[in-house]
Amino acid sequence: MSYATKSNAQAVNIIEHINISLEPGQVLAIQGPNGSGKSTMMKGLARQLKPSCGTISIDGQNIWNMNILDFARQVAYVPQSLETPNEMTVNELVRLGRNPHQNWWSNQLSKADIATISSALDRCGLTRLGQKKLNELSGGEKQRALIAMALAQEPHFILMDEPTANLDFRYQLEVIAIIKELKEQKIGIATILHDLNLSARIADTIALVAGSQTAGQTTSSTIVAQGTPQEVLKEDLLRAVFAVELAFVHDSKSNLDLYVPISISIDSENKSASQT
Amino acid sequence: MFVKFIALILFTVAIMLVNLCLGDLTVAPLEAIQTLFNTGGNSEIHDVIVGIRLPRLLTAFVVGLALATSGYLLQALSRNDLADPYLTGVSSGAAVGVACAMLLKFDFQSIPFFAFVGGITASFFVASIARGGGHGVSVAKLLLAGIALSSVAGALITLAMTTFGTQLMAQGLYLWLLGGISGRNWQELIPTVCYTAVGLIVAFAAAKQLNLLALGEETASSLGLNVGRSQLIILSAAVLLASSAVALSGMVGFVGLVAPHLSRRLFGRGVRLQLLCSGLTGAILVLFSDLLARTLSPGQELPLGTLMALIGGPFFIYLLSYSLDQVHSH
Repeated sequence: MSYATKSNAQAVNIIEHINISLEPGQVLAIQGPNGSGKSTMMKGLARQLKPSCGTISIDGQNIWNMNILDFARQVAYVPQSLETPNEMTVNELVRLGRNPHQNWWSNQLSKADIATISSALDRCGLTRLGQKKLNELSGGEKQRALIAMALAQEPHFILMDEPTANLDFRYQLEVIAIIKELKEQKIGIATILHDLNLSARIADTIALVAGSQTAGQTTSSTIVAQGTPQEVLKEDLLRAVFAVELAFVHDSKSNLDLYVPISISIDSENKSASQT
Repeated sequence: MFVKFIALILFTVAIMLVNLCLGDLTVAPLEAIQTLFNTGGNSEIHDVIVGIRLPRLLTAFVVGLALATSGYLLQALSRNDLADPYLTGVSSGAAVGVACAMLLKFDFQSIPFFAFVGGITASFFVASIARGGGHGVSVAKLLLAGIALSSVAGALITLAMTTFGTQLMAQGLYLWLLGGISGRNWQELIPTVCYTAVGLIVAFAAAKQLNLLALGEETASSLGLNVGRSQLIILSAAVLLASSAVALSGMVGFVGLVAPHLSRRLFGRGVRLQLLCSGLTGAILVLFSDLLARTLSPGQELPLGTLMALIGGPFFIYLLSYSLDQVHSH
């Protein structure tokens, strides 16, 4: 997937001048402040929103020229949450992931389908919850059920819109573990994450999305930095983009670099004060 | 579940038999069945059973089946339990179509077609309002647009009736609008049954698409569903079913609302199962209402639409208060 420029119906582009790519077995983490257009970008990649100019392609083929079923066999999209039909069970949800591999009229499962579904459930630790209804699941279980549905698609790429949102620490780490496992199976993953620490742990590439500095006006966002976690997660850059003071700590026990937001940065407070 | 389904079919057959036997002239069940298969016998009973009650009974069956299935499809499409061809204005649109066809003196075989044109126009109008502005379909907008459309449609019909129609025509149209299925004959029934059959076949063929749409448009499309095309096909089937019911029996409301709800409570889930059970539940509902309409006050007949409104209206109010709680807690 490469180069995309998107806009909404109005004259101002929501997000523009993007050039990103994703390889199988790579994790791309998309970060940025709220409202910076991360989700718009994700929906563009997921073929939900058509870019106003530019192209998104897989193996050189523009995704909008692909048959929608072919696209669904290549790319799965895990929404942030699902307005779930409450009565549906986990098994039924994950079964629907086989849709791109089935005829349009039939929902009969072949032996191969059943094997794929049970391995998807297994990889997400849901085997024993198959008969449970979706509204009986915890937030973490629901997120894993959505990921299992994506896995049942047997895609080469998985796009995730904030898979760790609304999850407590333990469930966040579970999702991260699943992403790591998928990466080992050579699936390319693009995910929106808010937590810098999680990004730093799993991402091969981080794309930092942000609007330009003139706050208060509708301006287009773009990718302000892109590279390995070490290249992107730098103090001055993060302070500028998120307008916070951060502490950088190295935990020798786990050998991890940790980023801790300390306070709202003084510059930005002055800025918003002068505007009002 | 299989037992429940068999019970539902047996119950449908039983209520059909009761409808065949009861009325101003009461016939014993065995005699009624014999009359159906024998051309001979008492000719008065034969006339009543085969000439009047059988077509009427089948009309009630088809109307109930079509309205309930249409309601089920509209609820699935809008992902909203309050959708129904009557409340969303689809029936009103179809009624305008039928009124035009009648006033322009088209022959009765073309009436379902006119009903479909009216219904599909209304559905596009209501859908575009209900979807406007946000993601998905807004419950409030859907119902309000339905109300607005229904009043405009009612006014249009009255206007057309008073301007172009003769006294006799106006009277006929009025009685038909109230929802009556008396005096339907085979020539009227058969073409409409064909339209209904097409709608039902499309609905069953689209079971898988309905299942995917239940996940929301975004997720459905990421699973490879062509969302716009599927919605259009399912909507057309729903409108075809509703408008063939309107062509037969005028404005009979709430069947499409009540039947899918009852069926969900009683028979569990699964799209194809629900399509079948909703349809049969709707048929039972209309057969039962028609039985009441014919027998409550002997010698006189209540309009079916009025009776259904008496049953369905309070149910709608109950659902409304219940589901508004849910809407607010989201």
